[in-house]
Amino acid sequence: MIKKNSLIESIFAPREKGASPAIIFITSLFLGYYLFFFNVLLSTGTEKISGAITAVFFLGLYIAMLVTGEYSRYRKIFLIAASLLMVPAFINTLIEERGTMLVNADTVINNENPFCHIVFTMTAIPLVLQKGIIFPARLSGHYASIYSMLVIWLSASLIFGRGWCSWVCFYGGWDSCFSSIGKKPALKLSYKNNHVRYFNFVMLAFVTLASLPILSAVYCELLCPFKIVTEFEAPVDIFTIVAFGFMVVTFLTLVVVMPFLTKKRFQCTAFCPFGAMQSLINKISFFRVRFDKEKCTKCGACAAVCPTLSVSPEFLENTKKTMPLTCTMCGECMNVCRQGAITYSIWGLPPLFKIKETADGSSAVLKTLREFLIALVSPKTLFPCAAFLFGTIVSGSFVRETLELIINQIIKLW
Amino acid sequence: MFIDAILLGLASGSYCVMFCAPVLVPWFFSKQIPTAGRNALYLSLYLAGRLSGYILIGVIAGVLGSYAAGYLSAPVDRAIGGATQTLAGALLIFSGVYSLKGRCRAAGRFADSAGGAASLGFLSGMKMCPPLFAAAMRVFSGDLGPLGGGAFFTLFFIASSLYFTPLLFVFKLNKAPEYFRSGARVLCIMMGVYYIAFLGLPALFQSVPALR
Repeated sequence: MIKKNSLIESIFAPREKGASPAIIFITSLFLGYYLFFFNVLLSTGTEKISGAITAVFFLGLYIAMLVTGEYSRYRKIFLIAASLLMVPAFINTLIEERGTMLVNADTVINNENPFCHIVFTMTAIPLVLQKGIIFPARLSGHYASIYSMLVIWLSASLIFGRGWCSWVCFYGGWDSCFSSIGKKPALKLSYKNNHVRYFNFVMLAFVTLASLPILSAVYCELLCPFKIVTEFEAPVDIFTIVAFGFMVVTFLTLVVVMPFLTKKRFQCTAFCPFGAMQSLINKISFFRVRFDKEKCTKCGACAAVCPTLSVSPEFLENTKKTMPLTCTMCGECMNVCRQGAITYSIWGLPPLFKIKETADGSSAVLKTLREFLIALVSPKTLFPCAAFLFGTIVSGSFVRETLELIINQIIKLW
Repeated sequence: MFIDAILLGLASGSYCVMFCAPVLVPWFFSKQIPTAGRNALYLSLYLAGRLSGYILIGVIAGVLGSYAAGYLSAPVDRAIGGATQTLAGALLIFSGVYSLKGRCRAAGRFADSAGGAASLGFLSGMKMCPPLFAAAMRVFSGDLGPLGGGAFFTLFFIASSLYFTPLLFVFKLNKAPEYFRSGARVLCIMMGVYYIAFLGLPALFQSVPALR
């Protein structure tokens, strides 16, 4: 027979690895309610089936994340699945709306291009100086309108800064996918070369400045590798042929080949201007990644697995308590750190809430419940829940629609 | 009329910044500017170069008067813009390559120095950006003559230059890590290539019938 205390402990007490069953239940209930409400209850017909599969898949990943405590593994599965499944739904929507995935004059004149988060890097300054948005997108009333993307991006950025790149970005999943194929890197990036991670700051400055004299989003027109899986202009004149060539070359080299060879998220690390902007926002975001120098044994395991080259031996030697600017909060380093020196934290709060011992000594049950409440509101619980929720908000409908397309095809074949 | 020039400069100065910043920011940030005085000197030279470009256009506009308005048509504007942007791009590349690798010695040293700042200013001043075009149209329609045209553009320049004052503080970045300046030098080269390949040469090709 289980004693009352040990039963309560087994349900509520924090665990060495992973969350307690009570925390898993409560946060899964919250996330599950959102997932099932938007994906199943609000759907009709075959959408209900695809919505249910989406909700179960996402919820399963979230629960696995909490049970095992291996955030990065299940986060990566989520991000890759969301990125790959986003494409068919996105292209299908474009074909339904305009009959082709190609950008044409009508969509530009009528401001009907979907607004992508990367465009924020180029629209901010013209918006401030000229009160105009230099991208032909809808202001509202569309899933990828300027206002909807602004609300999602702003709230996500203020909550977890560059965590966007690892938990939300449906482009980042492509890098992550190709960098996950195989185990050993064929091309090992030396720590001496890790300044490559600052090149996306140059890219940010370049696309921001280059967009000013022409009042147009240069990155979207010329450099974006992901146009190949979303929408692009037909190569009809010298400018669009060059842009098409850039797109193919950058996609193959930066998104496919380099991540595969280096096992790092090369495009996100060295090329994406949005990543650089998010790095700057990291400075004011609510959630952080804390590095405890006292616990660190300088084994270098975190530096070896960091997908964005953010952690280096030089960093481990210094005295900073927060991770470098370019950290994407992916959790890979936490997985391999045996000392528990790297943890999620909240800006301005100490790493762990200390439990005050009362003078008369509390009962074991009360102590367990207190520990449970503290664990429930700790960054270790709140961060994955918030980040995963944002990821599902952005990618959920795409995944559901792609699954629906697949189900409809199966039904047709049947 | 001259109050018009000041108001036009104040109202459209942010536009001027948008057209000048792509050239000015990489160039300034790629240098280790030791003192506030040197910083002010570079900015003054840039603005002096820009002023001379403005005055030149102002004088031309004043001399030709309304007669020129019909001739300052798209091909001419494009040709001037294309040429100035190509030259500005080349200066940026020389400056970036020189400060990054110490190559292209003569041209690089010039582009990287005070002469480079003045030249970039002059080329920026000669590029007919929308505010400048608006100012030129005002001079054409007013038939101010060469002196009046030059004065109009000088006042326009003074008012629009207020937006450049933040660049007086670039020297504060003097102690920024070396990779910050290396990044700015790479940015100089990238911006130079962009100016030549995507702004300057296409505009030239479009404006000169023989090259089309």
